[in-house]
Amino acid sequence: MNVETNRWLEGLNDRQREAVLAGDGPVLVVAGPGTGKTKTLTVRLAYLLAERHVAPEALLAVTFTTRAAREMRERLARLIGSQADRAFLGTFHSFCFQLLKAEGHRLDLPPDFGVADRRDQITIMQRALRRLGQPDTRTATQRKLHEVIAFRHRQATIEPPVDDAGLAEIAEAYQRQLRQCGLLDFDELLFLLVRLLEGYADVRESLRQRYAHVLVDEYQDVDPVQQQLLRFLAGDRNRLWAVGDCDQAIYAFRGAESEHLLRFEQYFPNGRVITLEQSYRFTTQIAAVASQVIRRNASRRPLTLNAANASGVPVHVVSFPDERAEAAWIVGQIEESVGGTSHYQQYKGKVTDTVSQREQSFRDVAVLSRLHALTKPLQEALKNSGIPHRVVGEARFFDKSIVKDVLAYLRVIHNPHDDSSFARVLNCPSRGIGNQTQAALEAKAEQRGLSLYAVLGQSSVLSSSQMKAVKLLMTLMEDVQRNKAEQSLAQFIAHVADVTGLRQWRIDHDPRHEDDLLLLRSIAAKYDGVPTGTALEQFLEEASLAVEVDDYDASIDAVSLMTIHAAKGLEFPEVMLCGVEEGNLPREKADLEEERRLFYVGLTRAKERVWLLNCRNRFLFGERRDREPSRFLQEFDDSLKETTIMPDRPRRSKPEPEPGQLSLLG
Amino acid sequence: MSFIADLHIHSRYSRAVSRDMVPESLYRWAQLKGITVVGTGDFTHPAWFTELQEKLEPAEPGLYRLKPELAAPVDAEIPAACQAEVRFMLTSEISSIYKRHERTRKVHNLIFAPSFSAVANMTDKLARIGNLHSDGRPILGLDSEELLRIMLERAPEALFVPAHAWTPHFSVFGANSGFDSLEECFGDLSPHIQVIETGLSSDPPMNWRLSQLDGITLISNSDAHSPSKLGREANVLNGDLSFDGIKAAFTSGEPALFWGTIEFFPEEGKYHFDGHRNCQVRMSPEEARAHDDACPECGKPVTRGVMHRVEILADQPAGHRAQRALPYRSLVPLVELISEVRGAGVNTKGVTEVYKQLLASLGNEFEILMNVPIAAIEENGGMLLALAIQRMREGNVTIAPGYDGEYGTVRLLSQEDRQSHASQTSLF
Repeated sequence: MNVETNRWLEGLNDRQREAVLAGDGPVLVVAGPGTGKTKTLTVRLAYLLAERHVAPEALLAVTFTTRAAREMRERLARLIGSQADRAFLGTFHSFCFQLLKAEGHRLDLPPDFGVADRRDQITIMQRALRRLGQPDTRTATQRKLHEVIAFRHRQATIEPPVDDAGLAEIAEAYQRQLRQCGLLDFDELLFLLVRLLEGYADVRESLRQRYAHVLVDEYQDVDPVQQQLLRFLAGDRNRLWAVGDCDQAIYAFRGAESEHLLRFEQYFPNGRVITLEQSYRFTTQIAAVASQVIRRNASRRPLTLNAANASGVPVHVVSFPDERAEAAWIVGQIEESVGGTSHYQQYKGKVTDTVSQREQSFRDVAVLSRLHALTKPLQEALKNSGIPHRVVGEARFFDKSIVKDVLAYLRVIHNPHDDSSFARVLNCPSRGIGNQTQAALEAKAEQRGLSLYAVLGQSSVLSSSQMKAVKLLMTLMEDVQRNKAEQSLAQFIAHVADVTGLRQWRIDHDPRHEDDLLLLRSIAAKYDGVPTGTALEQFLEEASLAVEVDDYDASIDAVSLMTIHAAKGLEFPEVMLCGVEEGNLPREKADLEEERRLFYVGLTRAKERVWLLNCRNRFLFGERRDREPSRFLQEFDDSLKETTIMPDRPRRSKPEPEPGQLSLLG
Repeated sequence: MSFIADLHIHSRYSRAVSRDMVPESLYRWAQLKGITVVGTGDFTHPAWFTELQEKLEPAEPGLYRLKPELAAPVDAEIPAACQAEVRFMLTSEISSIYKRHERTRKVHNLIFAPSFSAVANMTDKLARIGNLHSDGRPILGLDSEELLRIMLERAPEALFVPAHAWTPHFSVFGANSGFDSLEECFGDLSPHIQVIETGLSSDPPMNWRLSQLDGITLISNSDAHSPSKLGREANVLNGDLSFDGIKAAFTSGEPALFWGTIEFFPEEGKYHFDGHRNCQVRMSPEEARAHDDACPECGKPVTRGVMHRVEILADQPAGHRAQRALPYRSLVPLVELISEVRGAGVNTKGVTEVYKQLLASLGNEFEILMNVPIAAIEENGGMLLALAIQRMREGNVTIAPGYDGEYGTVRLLSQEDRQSHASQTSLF
């Protein structure tokens, strides 16, 4: 083995090394939190390239989020350099997208199809419903969309397919509308690829030939359709190498099934299972609490976390009279963690700050909860305190209005017949084309079976001034189209936002749009050097496939407020888990094991200290209710926890001044 | 013309600040103290910014004055001997708390701006980074270097000054969460740092011991949280009365433009020595070293004071004089002197009365402390006060140094002084 490889392997523990060096047969790596999952996966890739001389093109590694895919690519590039670019490392959806671009013609897909985002889906479903003469209010549309998505999933996985003539009709109309706009939706990417592989043995074969190794990250989150896809890809050679953790499976509501991870040996009788239990993330106390709790789940694989860092403190359980007390305490605790944010607090004796203390800053603290709604009082308290914080994952970057506007323009430039996008740009900025006119145009387009763009020029619907505005728009688009080769994508985006008047229009409304636009340009900047036509296509793909984009600005230090689901895969030195209460965690009537996993995932985000917080009374969703501490708090040894019960608020008397306050002001 | 500027203060919108920190009070107290240019503080705070725009009007380039209709009623109450023009400069302090080089840093920085529009340009950006509403001195999770970059991009004509550069908890050189050099803190942008504020607990000679500060101009301000604390430290300028004039004086450190600073005796500052306030333990750097920086009472590490921190970073012997060294004068606030003479607290009615009376007959506080002949002070304030001021002017003071947030205590008079003057009649 060469020196380089040896160095990588030396950085691994025995089990990790075993996983990296495993042979070709199916391998399942069960990796507990903080056990070096991504590291093992990337070293495995590097090892296949460097030692087993697998061509980079023959490697396929899929994961679920763009964040995870990016991390994998960056780490691999650090190990082996630019070879990493030639392997496919990406999300399931981006893989499907690429293959369908190449082979979709067999399914009669247009070569320039785009991907519908959530908003597109709703517009399109609305049209489908209108066409069928069914109610098309926003709520009705959303409900139908939801039903159709579930229906198609059942169709795709259950044999024989479910029979529901009503839904089938809507599903078909919806799909027809999608195609008319040249779009596929998110789920269809997977369905269609599976259909392609089922129907075309040559495609299947060539794929199996191409990918000698298929690696899967977060295997517990794979849904049945993805599982089917993996089976096609891995084929009879079974060169599947999967890593996952059934204890962190918290996406059942999205259709994920950790079944194939639990019964790996049944699916792959010659499969090998390697378990990573040595965690590098947390203290022995946190590891012990996590292990004791999760052990109560029946459907799991045996795994006991070991942690080396014994310097820890017990897990803190704190009970509050209500959510305001909880919020105030969290603010104080953050102050304490960072050693105070002002001299004033230090005089008050509220916090102490000496060099010997922990080195935490705001970014080292995360407040996790099941729902964003749970932390609303905290957000208010943080706002008043001036402590920098951000609510992560509340608004998706690609859902921000100016970003959606720009993308709509880009989609229209790319494909003028993308009606959903065209409808957005038509009156944005305002061109005096109201909803009624737009509806009339759409009706006309439908009637003639043409796109909006196609009927515009020959339409008698528009008044002369509207026509003038539209003509101007079309000339503009054609100009822009012609000039795109001369600019980088980032410049092109700026140009489009300027000449269409979009930028000024949005910024007049809210100056923050400027920043969103800048961020969009900086995302596009990575295509510098790529011809704008190609860059545009790739960029639109990236935007439509991004389930989550980090609008996370790493240069700003702030406390993170996020849901447990959003925190998956992240770690923080200090974690406060809010609302560890019956009815919230676990929820009533929910699958208790899934709930316990959610608690486990929240708990195991913490590296050094964790606080499990509950309120005895909480105002949530418009009502105030008494609450019981979660049963999960009873599922680990008392010796591992330190419990603090904050007293009820005094009923009548004014709260007493805190000690120290008077002498300071005197 | 020579004039005095105190540019670091806080408004009532900052935490733990007197409700009385409003433009009218600043205007009043600047005259009583003898300050010509006073900082507004807190320009990042939206409500304060609005108030400033409503109450101030442009004066000399980059400076503002209180609108005449607001100034008139204040003027009516100011002794004729103190009445003078007052200008405002738009200034603010920002608390940056962030990680850099794997450590948590807490650094306070000042920005001096020449116009409302320059301020708006910056706050526009800062408002998107953090919360400017909750505190007049906002806490931002923003690296000091990034803050400086934002200023350079958005208001390049403004001036950036690390605040009270030595305080242990919140400053660029602070022992607990600062840096060892300006370069470490500001990276490639460190050449833009030409001026630092020394803070109450350090004086120019302490700073001269660092060769890295040789090309840096040292300025001093009060960081007042109530109007009467204005001018505790300040700058004496000779140049042009305008934003650019003051900026040029600071950045060049040219004696023709910048006479020098008015200082606290650094021992009087809250963080001069090492120690533990709760344990009432005060230690000199040598004593602290002898105890391995541990508190003899509780065993925990003591809060390291400014003197000790300077000694750690100093690469030149005590007494070394920097090339750019400017003169300075160390003063004790007049109320503290009166308080000592009378043996009564600084906030007592008697002390306040005497203070008012002295200002009415002798002129503003800086005049009294620095220039009024001792004989005139004796005539109006008695022999003991005259003696105290004379000793202060000579630097003949006894101070129990401040530590861990506790101010130092100054003594100018001994028991013998009191006895020998006991038989004398005086105003008091």
